[in-house]
Amino acid sequence: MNVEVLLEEIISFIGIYYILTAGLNVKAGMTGIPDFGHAMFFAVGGIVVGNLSARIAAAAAASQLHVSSWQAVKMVISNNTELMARVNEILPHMPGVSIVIILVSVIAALVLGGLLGWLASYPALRLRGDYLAIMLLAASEGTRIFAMYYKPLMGKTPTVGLTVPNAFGFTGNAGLWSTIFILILAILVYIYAERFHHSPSGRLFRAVRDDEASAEAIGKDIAKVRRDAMIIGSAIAALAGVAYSFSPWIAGSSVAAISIFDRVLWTFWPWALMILGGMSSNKGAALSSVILGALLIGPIRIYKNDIAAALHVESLGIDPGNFANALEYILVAALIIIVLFVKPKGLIPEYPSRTVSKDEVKATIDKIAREGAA
Amino acid sequence: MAYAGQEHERLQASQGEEVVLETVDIVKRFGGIVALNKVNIKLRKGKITLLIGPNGSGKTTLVNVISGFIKPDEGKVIFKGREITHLPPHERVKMGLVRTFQIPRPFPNLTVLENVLAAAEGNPGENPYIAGIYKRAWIGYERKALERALSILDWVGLLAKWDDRAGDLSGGQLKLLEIARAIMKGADTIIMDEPAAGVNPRLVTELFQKIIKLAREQHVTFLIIEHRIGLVAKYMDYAYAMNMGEVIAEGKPDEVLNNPLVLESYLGG
Repeated sequence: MNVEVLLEEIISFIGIYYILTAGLNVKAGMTGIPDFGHAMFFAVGGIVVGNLSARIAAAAAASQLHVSSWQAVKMVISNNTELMARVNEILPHMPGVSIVIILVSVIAALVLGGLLGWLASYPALRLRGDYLAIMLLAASEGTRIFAMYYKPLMGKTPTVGLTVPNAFGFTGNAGLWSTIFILILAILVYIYAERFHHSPSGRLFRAVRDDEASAEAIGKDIAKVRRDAMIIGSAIAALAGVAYSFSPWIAGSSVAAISIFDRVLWTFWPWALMILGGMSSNKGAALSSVILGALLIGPIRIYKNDIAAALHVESLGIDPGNFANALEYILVAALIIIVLFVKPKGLIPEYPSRTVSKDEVKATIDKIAREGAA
Repeated sequence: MAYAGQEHERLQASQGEEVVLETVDIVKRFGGIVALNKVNIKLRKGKITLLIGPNGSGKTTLVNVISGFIKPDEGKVIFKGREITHLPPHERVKMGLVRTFQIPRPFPNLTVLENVLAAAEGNPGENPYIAGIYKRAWIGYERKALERALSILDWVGLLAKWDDRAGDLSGGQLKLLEIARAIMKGADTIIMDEPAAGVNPRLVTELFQKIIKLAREQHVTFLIIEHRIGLVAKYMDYAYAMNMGEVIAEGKPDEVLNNPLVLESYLGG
């Protein structure tokens, strides 16, 4: 396997999963909202790229296709595969439009993801714990089925979906530059998530998670906190959807409702990564994404058949091919069990919100001691 | 009473007997059980009021009604001249009315300092849409809050523990932490549900010295529910006794404690 392609896939996997997990961490880790419908917000990013951004690309390429912009926009749904194949030939020659498409995708995903999070927060204000978890899971599945059959959203064929615009074609090396794009997004999200954690808001979210009645007793509006957490966490999840849609994994092929709403890939995995890294630990989410990304996309995927053969699983009556395909789940399950035994709070346990540095707190303590003595 | 020196009496006279909080004919039923039956109590500014009564007499229900955690079926709660019967808890807190819980409820995974800082009112950094992006909007406020929080921790005697997880504190330290949070909140009226429960006697004395200091120096008003009457009665200015959802006696603490009805309610259970 080509090393450059392998590295691109590993880095984009890590980036996408880190962003997705960081979004979940705001909701579930920091605020205690058990969001089992996280895939629904991730899917917003896919829909933005496959639907909205594709229409912008089609409109921009319309004159070269000898149709009106309006016709081109309509053909994004009615004749998606053929139209987008031609648009994606033209788009690499339009760097300005490509950049606009990337920027619009990012902004639209943040806005629409936040909006859907805001809508989903209404039940989150009334329900708690298991009930809320099941409600969000059901909402995510319901939205998936709706998206599969609502043609104006995800196209005519549910399994094929919508071809994404080849927005990185203009760079000449779409794989490399889309990886760099994902890496930049992931770094920005990391910086933001760290700053958020170490802010009074991060502290407030964690306080509400620890004890709602107590937070209410010191005057906090817990309904607002839960709503804000749903909006911010879901907006970040939608960003992961954009990263995925432009990633080397998709590489100009299509996003379909069956893949972008996948509850194993986009709800279960980020939960597993968050638990592994440490609940409410942004650094932990990043570390677990890096470890799993490097393991799964690297050695596990490359050597899974060899590992299955070396373990002689067929002597246990297990089909080696099936075993090899399930190896990533076996590995993650084993990792979670081991980590939770050895470090019950995750690889990097939750850390305090240092709104000011520890040294500054100590300096302030000294100052108070001096004033007290004087 | 030992504590009531001339200084205190002079202060009392200068302040008058301003009523800060008043309940008017509060009735609360749970199914067929009348938990509170026309309860009237008054808290006066800067005074420590004791509320006693056997288990199930309605003390905690009354605290829940006053702090807004449950709504009464009838009657009014008046705070600083304004009816607050239907205000949610966080609105009451903004007016200066803060409660603590029978079992201390800190934020266990936050540090002691974070617990106190979280109680700061009106922190611009608690707007989540600017908090992670524009630190300048809140860092000035936060630094002031930090100084105040550390002074308060120093005052309650928890400064050495500032970076410990609140969940690792002892029962007595948690009560002190709750007081620290209430002060940080800027509370002028504090309702404490059994502050001495589960706290060792030496720490109880320390705790009540803090409470008296707050009442006398900062004119903070207290309503204190307590079972260990012997330990705390000497610190109190006024007392109410409840039984079966009704106030059965009120007055000076020693009078109330020796009231035959009160003695009977405790012995008769």
